[in-house]
Amino acid sequence: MTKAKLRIENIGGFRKPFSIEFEKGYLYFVEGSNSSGKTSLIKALAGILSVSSSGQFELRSDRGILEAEHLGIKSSEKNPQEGLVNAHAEFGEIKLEIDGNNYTYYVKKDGTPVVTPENGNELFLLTGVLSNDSRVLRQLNNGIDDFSWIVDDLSLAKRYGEYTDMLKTRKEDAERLYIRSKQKKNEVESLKKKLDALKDARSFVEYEMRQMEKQYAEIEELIKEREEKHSEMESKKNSAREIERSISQLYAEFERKKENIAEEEKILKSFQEEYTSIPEIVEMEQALEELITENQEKVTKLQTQRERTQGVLDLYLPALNSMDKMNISQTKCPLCETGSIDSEKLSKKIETLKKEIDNINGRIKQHLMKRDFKKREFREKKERKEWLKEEIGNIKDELKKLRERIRDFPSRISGEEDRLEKKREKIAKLKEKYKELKRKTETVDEEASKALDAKEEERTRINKELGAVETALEETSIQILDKLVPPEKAERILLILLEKLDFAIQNFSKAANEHRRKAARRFNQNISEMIQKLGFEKLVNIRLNDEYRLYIERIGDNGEGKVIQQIKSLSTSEKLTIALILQSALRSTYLSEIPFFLIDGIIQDFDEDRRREVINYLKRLTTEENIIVIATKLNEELPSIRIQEV
Amino acid sequence: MSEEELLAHLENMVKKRETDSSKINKLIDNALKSIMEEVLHDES
Repeated sequence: MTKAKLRIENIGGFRKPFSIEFEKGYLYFVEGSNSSGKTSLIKALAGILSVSSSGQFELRSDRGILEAEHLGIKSSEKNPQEGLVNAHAEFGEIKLEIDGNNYTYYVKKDGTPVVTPENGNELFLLTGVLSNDSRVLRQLNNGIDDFSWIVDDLSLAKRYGEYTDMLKTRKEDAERLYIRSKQKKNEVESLKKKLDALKDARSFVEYEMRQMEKQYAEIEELIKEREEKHSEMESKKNSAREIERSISQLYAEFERKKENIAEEEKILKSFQEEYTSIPEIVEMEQALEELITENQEKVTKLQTQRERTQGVLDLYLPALNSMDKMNISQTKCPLCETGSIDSEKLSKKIETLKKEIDNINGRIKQHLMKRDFKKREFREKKERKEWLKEEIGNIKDELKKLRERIRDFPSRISGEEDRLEKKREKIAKLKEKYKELKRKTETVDEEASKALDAKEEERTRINKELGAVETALEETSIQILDKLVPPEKAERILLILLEKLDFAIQNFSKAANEHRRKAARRFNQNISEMIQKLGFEKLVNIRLNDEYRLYIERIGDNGEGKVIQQIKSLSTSEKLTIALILQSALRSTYLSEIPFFLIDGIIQDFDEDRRREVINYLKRLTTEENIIVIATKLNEELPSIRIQEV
Repeated sequence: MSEEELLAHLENMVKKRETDSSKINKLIDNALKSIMEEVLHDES
């Protein structure tokens, strides 16, 4: 006898640690009222027996998670509190000791595993638990007869199918790449032809260019000579322009100097005329002396005349004074002393004499002034004549020098003009030569240059096309994994891969079908055995047909013949019975190594007679298969949970 | 890797209930690599 020991803490309704022992080969009833913890016990066992070592319920993708959520051993987004762990705890713990092995499942409230058992099997969710939430009964209650998941999901068929799908995906990828390789291979052939044609074209153009360059070298020599002549001509032109400038300067200077001479000559002439117009100094001296003498004589004569008049006046004035003093009107004439003269007449005579003296004095003064003027005039003329004489001499000297200076100008100008003429002759010769070279080279040069440029353009175009073709050739490589492979090789590689994949796909498809058939056969055989063991007389045949749909055959209502029974028309008790048969067969077919079969909340739903049959069946099952069957049973009369060995 | 060898490897993975598709793809990549080596080596 082998015992199994379960210990739970903070699981479902069990806040405190709860332990229980089971023995193989026995049927246990877990009885209690609602919320007494019956289902928590079933969940705890289902959880520790089904959770994988990764802590997840990964059975056939999300199917395991879905079943775990249905059975309430994993919280879902819809019901986050409906997990294994007690609502007031953060962690829950399940320990199971079986056949001397200890397993622990320590899980957070949100389902995150902390410690997981090593050999949990998610298949247990579909095979080892029967409740209103288990898949078999859900499907029967919903009237769905497609049970292909039994042969697909639970056998290796689905795995083979999945592998086949993956292989087919890879095959499709390989086929696409293979077609592309073929296309690229054709493209490569066409590109290679194009490449060869372009290379030939480029070689020919380059040959033509070499020939043209040879011709062009000769023309280049002529061009070089032409350019040299042009350069020489320009140099000579510059030189000629220099000479022209020099001649212009000489002419200008010559003219300027001639103008200076003319100016000086003009001054000289005016000076000479002025000089000539002034009498000779000796003559002027003689004339001056004569004038002075004549002037002196006139002055002397006037002085004598003034003295005589003064003498008369000197006689009259005292006489008049005496008359005035004596207050007489007549007196004896003081001049002749013979006659008499009155004071009035005397006064008049005195006035006349005074006027005469003033007149004489004025005339003397005029003569003296004239003399002084003549003397000054003489002096000035003398000085001017002497200055003119000196200046004339100076100008003559200057003129002499100026004439000396311009004497060589005509020859210098003439020399420069000769030089210019020679330059011009040389320039004319160079121009002729240049024109001749230009005529020779211009047309040929332009044509050769154009032709060479055209060839260069052609070569550039060909190179560009070659580059594009080479790039296109590079781009024809097919990437396989991390390597770029030429298309013809890629085609071969992919063909081999496709053959291998085809081989695997065919074998796997075959294997998948084989596993399905085997699973269905085994499952149907187990069902048949269950029916015989249960002794349900009316259900004569329950099996998966060739399409893996549930086929139910029963004795007709009148007790004669067999009729096919539709799921939808089954009674609740019949559905439960069939569910029990299918679930038992599933466990035996797929997971007989796990010695547990859990039934939650089903037993009380059978009618009284059927319940007895079911319990008897389960008792036989525990003994025959040496397993532990645990079934919950509602009993509102019990104050707490009770576990009873049947 | 021959067809039989590839199949044997895949069978082995199925039996081990290997669900990681990347491992299966890696196996096929290895088969592809060996084909590539063979073809490219032959060509060279």
